[in-house]
Amino acid sequence: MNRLWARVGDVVAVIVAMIGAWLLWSAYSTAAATASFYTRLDRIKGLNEAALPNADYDLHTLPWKVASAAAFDLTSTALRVVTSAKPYDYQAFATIDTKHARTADIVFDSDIQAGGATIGFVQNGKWIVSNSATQSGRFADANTVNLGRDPSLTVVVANDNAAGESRFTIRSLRVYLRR
Amino acid sequence: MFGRATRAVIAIEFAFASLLIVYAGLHDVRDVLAGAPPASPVEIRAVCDAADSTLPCEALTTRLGPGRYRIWTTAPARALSVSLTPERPERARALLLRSTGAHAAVAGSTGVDLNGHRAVVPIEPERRIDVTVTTASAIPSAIALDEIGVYPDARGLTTDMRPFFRAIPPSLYHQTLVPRAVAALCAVTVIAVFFLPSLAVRRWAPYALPVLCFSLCVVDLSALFSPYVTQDLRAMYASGPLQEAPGSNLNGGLYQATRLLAGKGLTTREGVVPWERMPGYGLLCGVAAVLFGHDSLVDVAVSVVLMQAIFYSVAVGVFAWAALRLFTPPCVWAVGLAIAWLPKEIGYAQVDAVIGPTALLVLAALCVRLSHERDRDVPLRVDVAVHLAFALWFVMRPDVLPGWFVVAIALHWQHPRRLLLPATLLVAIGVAWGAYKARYTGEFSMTTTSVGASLFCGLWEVPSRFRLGGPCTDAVYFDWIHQHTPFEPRSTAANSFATREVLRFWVTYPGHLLIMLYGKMMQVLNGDLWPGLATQLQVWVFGVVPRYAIVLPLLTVVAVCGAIGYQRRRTLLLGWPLFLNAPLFWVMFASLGRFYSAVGIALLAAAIPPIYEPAFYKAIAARPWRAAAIAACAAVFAVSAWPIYDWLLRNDALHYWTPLLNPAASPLAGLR
Repeated sequence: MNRLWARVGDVVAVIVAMIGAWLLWSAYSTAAATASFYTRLDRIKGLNEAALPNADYDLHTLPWKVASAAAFDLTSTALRVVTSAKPYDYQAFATIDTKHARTADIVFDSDIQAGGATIGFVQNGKWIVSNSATQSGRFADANTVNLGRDPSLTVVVANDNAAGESRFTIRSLRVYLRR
Repeated sequence: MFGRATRAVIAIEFAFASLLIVYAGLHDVRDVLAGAPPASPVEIRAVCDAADSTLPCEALTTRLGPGRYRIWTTAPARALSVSLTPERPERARALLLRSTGAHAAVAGSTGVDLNGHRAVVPIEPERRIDVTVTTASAIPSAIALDEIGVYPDARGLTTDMRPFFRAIPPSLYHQTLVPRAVAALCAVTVIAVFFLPSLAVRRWAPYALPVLCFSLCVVDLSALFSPYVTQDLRAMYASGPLQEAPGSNLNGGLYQATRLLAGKGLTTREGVVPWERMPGYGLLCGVAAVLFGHDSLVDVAVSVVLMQAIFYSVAVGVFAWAALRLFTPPCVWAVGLAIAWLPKEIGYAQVDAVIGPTALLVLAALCVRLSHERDRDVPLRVDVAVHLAFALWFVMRPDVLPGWFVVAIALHWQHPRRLLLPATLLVAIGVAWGAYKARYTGEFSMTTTSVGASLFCGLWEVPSRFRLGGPCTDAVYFDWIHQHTPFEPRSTAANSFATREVLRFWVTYPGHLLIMLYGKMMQVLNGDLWPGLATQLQVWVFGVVPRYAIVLPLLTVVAVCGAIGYQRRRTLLLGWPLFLNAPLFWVMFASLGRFYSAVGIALLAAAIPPIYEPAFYKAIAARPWRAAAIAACAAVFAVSAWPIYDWLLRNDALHYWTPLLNPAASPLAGLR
């Protein structure tokens, strides 16, 4: 009986040691992952147009599909969008293969002529990262996100204007997939 | 062999977790206490450009720390012009600015929009730096530059100098990641301590717990007053409490300390002693000022906060030392760490911040006494310690009196001569304070003259349609006293009048009294008994398990102990603030629960130990029906208590029922 209790005690000790290790590891890994995210974000935001490496996808290689945009004009130099009147509707999207990437970065440069815009990634039907602007002027930014297990990722351009229609021009949009 | 290796791994995890907690806190001490690295010395000249040139407008300066200042205008202004002349221009390379809703133009540089966060402007080494601040508002208002300083470089101004994870923004790091990680590490130690050698924990816990507690205090303060996110403690005190009239909640003790050290007595202004406070907190602030610095009121405030953190930590250590006489080391570790982990009020320079640690000293003394009760006679020195701890609470806040009286009777009913101890201490403190105050007020009162005001404000802390219902302030009470009496509102006569009228109001509206008692009790059960601003350190738990779902099971443990007779005396003595202190604030002003810190601590000290004791479960097994009845009652109460409260609030017939006295006779009555 005593030996049985000793065994039970040992098993409990092993479980506690594992719980302790897991809690320590999760505290570290959360901080490490967050630091890694911000390091990447800093790096991406620090890149200028000339220094950007080759993207996995850019404005012209993304397989765009128009959702509700009133006008969607992709030329060799830019993408001009006139949105629908619905304040926050998706205007256009492009679904791509993640190629087993663990993170995805997005870098874009645009001009808002009227209203506002949101540009980002959607995965499993939810925004996983986005940048928004609600004022006229230059709208250039970068972002990064850890990807889920879904093998596809959707780049979305949406309206962000409570008053209705927006007009904007995207000069460049690059997507980087990192394994 | 296998078991020994596993236990060694657990011991390493325990040590590693403890060291990380200590490191997390100690790393932030400078940020919390200093707020910024030392700035280059400068000479400051500030001028207010008044919006209305017919009104006088001054630009005033408060020193926040070495070379760092707050500058503000005393009237609405078009602009605030500041000239900084560095003593060593070659060391002036970065200008720190912070303000809310203002625009700063720095000579030789572009303009800066100030949005409440720190802005650092690179500057060329100049003999003089000119800054012009204008308000962003279209309506002229006073301009405040909450922080300004000149630094050799920008390091340590917008983010802390941490060796790890530097890329993480300070807001996320200090307000979320570190507190949550520290909470997880605390959980590691609470689990791991079961597998450590009992003797080692018994020996080290009274020393280790205060260090961990101090670290937890700093982690909390860093989340609430991070200089890189909102404003540090110094800037907060300079722009908030120290702008209020002397004697307000968060500056009364600071003014008392400063004036005491200047030989002007325990006063807040010339000839004014606080009518609503006991002398202890002012004296404690004085000690803090002497020990940790008192160059300015801002320095005194930071000294007091540091003193409060140390006091809380030491009290946790003393409690652990005493509790080890009664409980097993893992239990003491869990209780001690839980108390250290609770939300605290130590960032605020008010007496409520030290009631928690004072209550811990009372509970520690009671633990020692309980351990001696196994002997035939309890040594006199133990009872002296018990009543000195109670007296310390009394010298801070008089709400201890009912509890002190009942506990003293419970302890000494077999040896009534020992009741002379609390009686002597009570009279000595009360007479000394009464006599001291009488020099200034011309009347004698052993405690405070604010019982009536507290009862008055307590009436309006539950929703009602009474005309006086709503937020209660000193001004509301003073107006009411002036309307109905010729008395000075702070006087004993006004106090007696208010007390009498509140008692009459209770009898006039018994339904409101019932709803008030019930409503405030529910607020306590809902978590008000752990006052203070919760950071992610506590939200890590409270976000998963609501406070109501923690408080009720703990209270059920206390009730089961009482019902089955398991350690009944110990549980009642350690939990006395639950029964003899909390209900006081159901009839008096509870002020969103800030007075309850002793109650929350007592609940943990009384309810956690039985959970760790196998004898508790054997006692339940011996009387299963009693325990089951208590558990069933608790379950029914848990699900029905809030619906009943909602029903009471909607039941106007009961709320405004006047079966005994005519409401027209009450100066408090009258509906909106």
